Amino acid sequence: MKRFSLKYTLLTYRLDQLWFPLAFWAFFVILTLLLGEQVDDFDIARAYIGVAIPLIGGFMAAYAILDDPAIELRFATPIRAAQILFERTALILLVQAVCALAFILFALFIGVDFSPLGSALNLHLSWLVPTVAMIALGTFGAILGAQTMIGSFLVGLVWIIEVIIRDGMAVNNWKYAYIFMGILSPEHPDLVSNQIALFGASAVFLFFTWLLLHRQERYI
Amino acid sequence: MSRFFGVIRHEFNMSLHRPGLWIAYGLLFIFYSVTVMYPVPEEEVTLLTNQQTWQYAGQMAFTFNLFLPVVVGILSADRLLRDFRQSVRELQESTPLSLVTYTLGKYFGVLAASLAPVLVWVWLISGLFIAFGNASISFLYAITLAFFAIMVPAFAFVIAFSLACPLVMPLRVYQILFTGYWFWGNYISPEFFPTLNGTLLTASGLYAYQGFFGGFINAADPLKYSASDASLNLLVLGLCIAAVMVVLNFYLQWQSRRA
Repeated sequence: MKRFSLKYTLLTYRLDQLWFPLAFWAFFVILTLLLGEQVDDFDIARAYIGVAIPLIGGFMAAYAILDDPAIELRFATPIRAAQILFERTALILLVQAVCALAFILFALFIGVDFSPLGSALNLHLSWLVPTVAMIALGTFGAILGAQTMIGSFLVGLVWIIEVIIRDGMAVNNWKYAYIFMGILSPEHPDLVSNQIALFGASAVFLFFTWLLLHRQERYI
Repeated sequence: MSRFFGVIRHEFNMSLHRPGLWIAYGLLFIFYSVTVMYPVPEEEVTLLTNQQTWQYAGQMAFTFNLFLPVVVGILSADRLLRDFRQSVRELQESTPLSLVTYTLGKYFGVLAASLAPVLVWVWLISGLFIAFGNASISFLYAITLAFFAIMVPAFAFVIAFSLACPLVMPLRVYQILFTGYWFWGNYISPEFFPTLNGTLLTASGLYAYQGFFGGFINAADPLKYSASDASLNLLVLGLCIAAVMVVLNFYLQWQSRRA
């Protein structure tokens, strides 16, 4: 059954989930090469891995489960909710991870210094934490509202608010919900608490998504 | 003309019945209401002067423009596309409804549905602001003008693109590009990174805010844009909207011929 489900996932895989992240990756590579003298390469690199990748992951996740023309047939098969959730979101995370790692390799190759972000672990957490958080938020929003649009605007809204008022997000209790802390304020004393809080929030979102996925009649 | 208003009315009602619109607006209205009203209880209440009333009205509309157009752009992106996805377009083509009437009716219907709740809320929050003794009744007039000079052009601009672009690219791809564009094209400093911000294509309302309303109260930096710059900005945005609608019309004509 699992093999059938994986085959189904690959057959119904929306190709824009693959070509768009790759196109965006290529765009940022070209941007880095073109603007190398005008803009600091490090700023472009961190804008891509820590800000653009979570946005793409979040929007893709909002469409991951419900944007399926055969969703009714899929719900008629004995596939567990957890399996649907895992297959759809893990694939998105995998594509974003490949893009992030490929860009980090490219950036290191052209001599970008990632040391302001801290250790190698911190570098990878700086894109992984916000990406997982946005994927969880996008999936949860879409499933909660039973509409891809609701997941989309939640992702768009959270992203734009946190990017624009980023200085305000780093203070008070908002700091625990600041998804760009690892990439934009890596020296913040509460970074570890922030990352734990975001992972926790992502887990809660995914848990409730899993619970809601059991009520299949909501999505048909 | 009755068909045109019929399409507007239908689209307006459909858009207003979407739960997504109310959830998104509800979240933002709460957020903005708290930020507008929160300082009042702690600070000494001071009545705005005439000049400050004008500036504060502009500041409020400019601040609302930070996030509201993003929600509007994302939510309106499927309004035209859904007619194709649900095969309603084929039925519409069999009626005597002309393509121009359909496109413009759809556009103004979505625009009206996006603006109406915001205008009501802006009046409500301004009324509270006046009731708390922060401004005179003339603030209501100033905020209404600010709404039309700053918010309406931004909404009109993003809705035009949100109706047209998803017809030629996947919806989610458009939404990602649009969200990224709103930040890149309006709020990144041109000194830091090449951007549309600072050009006449800026849709955030900064030109109108500075040119017509005088910018921030007690701002240290001199104003960058004059009233004529603001008028030119509105003209350029209007031309962009017209261009998008013309291209959209041609595209739909081509689609009908191909079908």
